[in-house]
Amino acid sequence: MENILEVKSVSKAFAGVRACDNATMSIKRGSVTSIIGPNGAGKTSLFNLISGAIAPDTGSINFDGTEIAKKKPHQISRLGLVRTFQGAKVIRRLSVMENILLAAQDNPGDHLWRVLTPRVRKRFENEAEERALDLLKQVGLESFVDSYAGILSGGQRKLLDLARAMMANPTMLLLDEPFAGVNPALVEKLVEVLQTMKTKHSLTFLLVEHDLETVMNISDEVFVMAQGTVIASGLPDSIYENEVVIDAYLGSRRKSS
Amino acid sequence: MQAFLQPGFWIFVLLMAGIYCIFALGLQVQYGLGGILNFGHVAMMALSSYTMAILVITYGWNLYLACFAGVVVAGLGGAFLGLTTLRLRGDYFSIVSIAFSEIVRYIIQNSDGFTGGAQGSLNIPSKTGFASYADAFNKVLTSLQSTIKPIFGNFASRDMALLLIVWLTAIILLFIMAAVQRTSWARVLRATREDDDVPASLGKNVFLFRLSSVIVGSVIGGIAGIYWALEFSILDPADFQTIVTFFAWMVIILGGATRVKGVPLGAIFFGFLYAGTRFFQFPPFTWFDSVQRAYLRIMIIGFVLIFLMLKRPQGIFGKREEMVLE
Repeated sequence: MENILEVKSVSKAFAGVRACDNATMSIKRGSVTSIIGPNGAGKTSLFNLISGAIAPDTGSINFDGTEIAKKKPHQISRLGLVRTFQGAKVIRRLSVMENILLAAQDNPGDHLWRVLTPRVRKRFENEAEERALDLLKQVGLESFVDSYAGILSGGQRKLLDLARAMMANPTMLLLDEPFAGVNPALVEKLVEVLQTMKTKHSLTFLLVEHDLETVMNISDEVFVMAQGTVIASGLPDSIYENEVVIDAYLGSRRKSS
Repeated sequence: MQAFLQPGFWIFVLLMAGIYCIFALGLQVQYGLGGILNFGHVAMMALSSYTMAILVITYGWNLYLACFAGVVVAGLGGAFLGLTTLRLRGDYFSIVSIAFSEIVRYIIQNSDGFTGGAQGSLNIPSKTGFASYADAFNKVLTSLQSTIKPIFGNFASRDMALLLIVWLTAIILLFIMAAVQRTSWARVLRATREDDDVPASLGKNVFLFRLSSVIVGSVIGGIAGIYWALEFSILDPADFQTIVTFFAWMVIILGGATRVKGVPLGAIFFGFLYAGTRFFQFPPFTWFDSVQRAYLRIMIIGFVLIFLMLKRPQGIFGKREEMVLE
């Protein structure tokens, strides 16, 4: 399988603290890949670097044949690399439907002069609404269409976040702790949604996650980060056996059991 | 008490409410949609009115062409303000925007040979030695006055004629902006007032959306400036103090910042509140002399605003769930 994302020797320091230190990883097209590691290992920093929220000091990031290390978040998103945020950011004062519609790509109504062509706008909006409703049904939020997103529970926000990212027609999704603070039943639901989306739209997923059991269940490959760099990678099973990983992240409890 | 009973006065109040309605509509685009706290909006009024006056008086331009140029310059002023400072977050933008409007006013006040300086537009250099920009428009108003005479009778004053033009403009602009608020452009702006990262992660260039809303608001503010200039026929730098921006803020806060239809209502309400309190000529107000009463009036407006904010913080038409400041 070819690689869709290649991160090469990426470093980023904040006032001397190395958030990312020579991090390198390749993500295969159509795979589910997870990044695990202790708090402060640089996982979210790496996400921010990939999605363009921060620019790397050195190194290169290549997505689907395009160098994206110097690009802005909105440019990277338009290439099909879409991210979600830790804790699921929804726009609280927009309705659930409006939240999803935000993600519709190439909306003619985004250009102010299109106020003069209401028909073109309307046609696009109608089609987008249909797609949005379909996505909302997939994540089970269809009864909240007109509610303000601010009233949703934490878990529902994660579902909305996921559906919204899907609306942007991504080829690859970056999910920052999608299962954190979510009850077990909803984790199952999220995993199910994820897997349907993966097969249905042949998506690539890159996750940052602490829920090891789920990570090991759904991942094709796992990267372990510590102190800003990738210390190990491989199939989920091999990670459990890796001495370096046990020392840095899993802890000795695993070793004895 | 005399003026209180004269319809001419109330026509003037309504006319000014119309100008404030247009002016505040420019602010509503920025704040009601994008949550942008622009405290320098009055600069756009100063830019458009002075540009128009200088082009007509010094360079002998056609009035309507000059009006158009004035509005364009206001838009450019907004673009300059936005390009240089919109990358700043929230409060910092507000501070810079006040500075911007004060800088514009001070430049006008101190460029004697160009803007007329502190003496106002009467001192703008003119080849004919006659510094008036509103002549051509006054002729139009006079003819409109005679046209509406059969309908309005004795009320068909110059102000009445201008009132009709101003409110017609206001209504057209209100309809346009109401349509704008239904576009996805407005939806993205409403998202940015809460968060930058989400729209950016979905492919929206947040900066461009903000910049365009400031430019649109500035153009509308510029239109208000033109009508202001035409109503008073002379310009004075002191007309464009920061307090005028805050009058517009009162209008949109009273009407409800998140809805276009709140703006005209807020403007009329503000107009009557501001003018109406002039006539508190009965006890206990008569216990104070007129100077004290002038301050009392401002205090009463303040109390009404505070009361409204406590009882209905979202404004008359606003949506509480969408209140821009929490």
